[in-house]
Amino acid sequence: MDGLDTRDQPAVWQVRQRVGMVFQNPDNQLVATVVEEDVAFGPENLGLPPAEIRRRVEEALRVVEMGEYRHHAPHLLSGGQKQRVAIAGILAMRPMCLILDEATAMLDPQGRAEVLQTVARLNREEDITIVHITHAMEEAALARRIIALAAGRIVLEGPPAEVFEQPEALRRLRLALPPVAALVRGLRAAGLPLRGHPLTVDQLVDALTGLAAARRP
Amino acid sequence: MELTRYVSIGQYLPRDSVVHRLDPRTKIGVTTLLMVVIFVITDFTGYGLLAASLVGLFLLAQIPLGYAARGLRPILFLLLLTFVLNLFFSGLREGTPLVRLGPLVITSEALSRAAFISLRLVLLVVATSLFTYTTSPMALTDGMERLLRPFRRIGVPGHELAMMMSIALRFIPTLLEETERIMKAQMARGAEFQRGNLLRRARAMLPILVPLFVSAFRRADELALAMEARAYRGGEGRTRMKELAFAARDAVAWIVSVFATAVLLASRWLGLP
Repeated sequence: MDGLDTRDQPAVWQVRQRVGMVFQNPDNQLVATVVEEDVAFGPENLGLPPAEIRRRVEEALRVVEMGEYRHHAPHLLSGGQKQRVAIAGILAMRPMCLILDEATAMLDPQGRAEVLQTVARLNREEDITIVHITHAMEEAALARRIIALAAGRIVLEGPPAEVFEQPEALRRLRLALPPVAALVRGLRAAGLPLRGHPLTVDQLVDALTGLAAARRP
Repeated sequence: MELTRYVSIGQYLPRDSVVHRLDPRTKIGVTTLLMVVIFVITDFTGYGLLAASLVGLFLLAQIPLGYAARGLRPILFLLLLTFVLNLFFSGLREGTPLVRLGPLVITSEALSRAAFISLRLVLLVVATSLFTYTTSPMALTDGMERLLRPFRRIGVPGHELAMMMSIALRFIPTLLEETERIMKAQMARGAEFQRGNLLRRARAMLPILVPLFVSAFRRADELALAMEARAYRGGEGRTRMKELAFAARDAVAWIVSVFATAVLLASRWLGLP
């Protein structure tokens, strides 16, 4: 990790500054009773001057769009909001990489969408590497690269388009195709010559309209 | 059964008032002085004045007075017990007997004594609840940490104590929610919590406490991991976003409360009116 070995004990603290982790249960990772103080927890541990902490907290809360909740108590927020606060707490430490460890598993669909949108924006606009650990294949389909692990070993690796071309291998890992990929497979089996590797609804719609346009004389 | 609605002790009510903005060290100090004052006062007039000033402080802090009453709910039983015990067994034989119940006599002295002690308890709780309503747990622990800093050399782990307390406060609502969930789950399987004598009710709590403890330990474990992942390694080298700083309002609060306490103590021990 950034030239540091994660197995090297003295380097662990430096690694923790560069890599942020968001965990599954949003309740068990918020330390403070007020949102902004929780976000400040990480930078405080880094020993930053108060003005700098304040600046980073404001910025991190703005990025996850939780600025208006800064004085709220975490236990009054929804699951998706708590996870966004947790993400802000990590962002305030200015990491290079953000690991989400099943961070969407305990959320309702709306909370899940909030977190995924936030994370996608971080990746696009703040240039932060996102490692999203998940069992939800439609979330995995959003990634640039998928790594499937089984018993601690990498068993499948590649861009989603490639990985989801191997339904047999996925089934052996007890994973399903994401819904859109499954639909595409069904359509192809029914004789529809779809091109490309549509993985989202939008991409599928594009592929279908492309097909329709090509068929029209 | 909404536990969260009934328990209000130790809950912070964010407002933008002068009282909220006071330095937590000031509030700890003033609350301590208030405790002293409550124990020093020995007449109803004094308590009347004190109650009036507490009401004033609640208004100043923009906390509805209903919250003061809410804080008393958990000690209602204790309050009643204190009142009854003082009423019958205060040992005050003099005074006009008001009621005779067999061997038990209620004298006017005992009545006023019982009312006084109960009032003392009420004032103590109301004063401390004003403190917790207006002081965020983080501010409270910051204040404690700072106040304990001089004692670190003799081995008082100020930072650790403060951190423990703030986490405990942070998890009160979470664990209350959890208790509620477990109770509902056990009730769905036929458990009864409201019936039977005291022993049976206590026994019925067991299927709540065991899962609660298991889950609390799991939470603690995950929280520790999350804190370490955010580079926490104790108080060493840690800075704060909100550095504590005394302001003019703190000076005012200190002067007023120290002066009032001094006057009271002087009048008490020097026999001044």
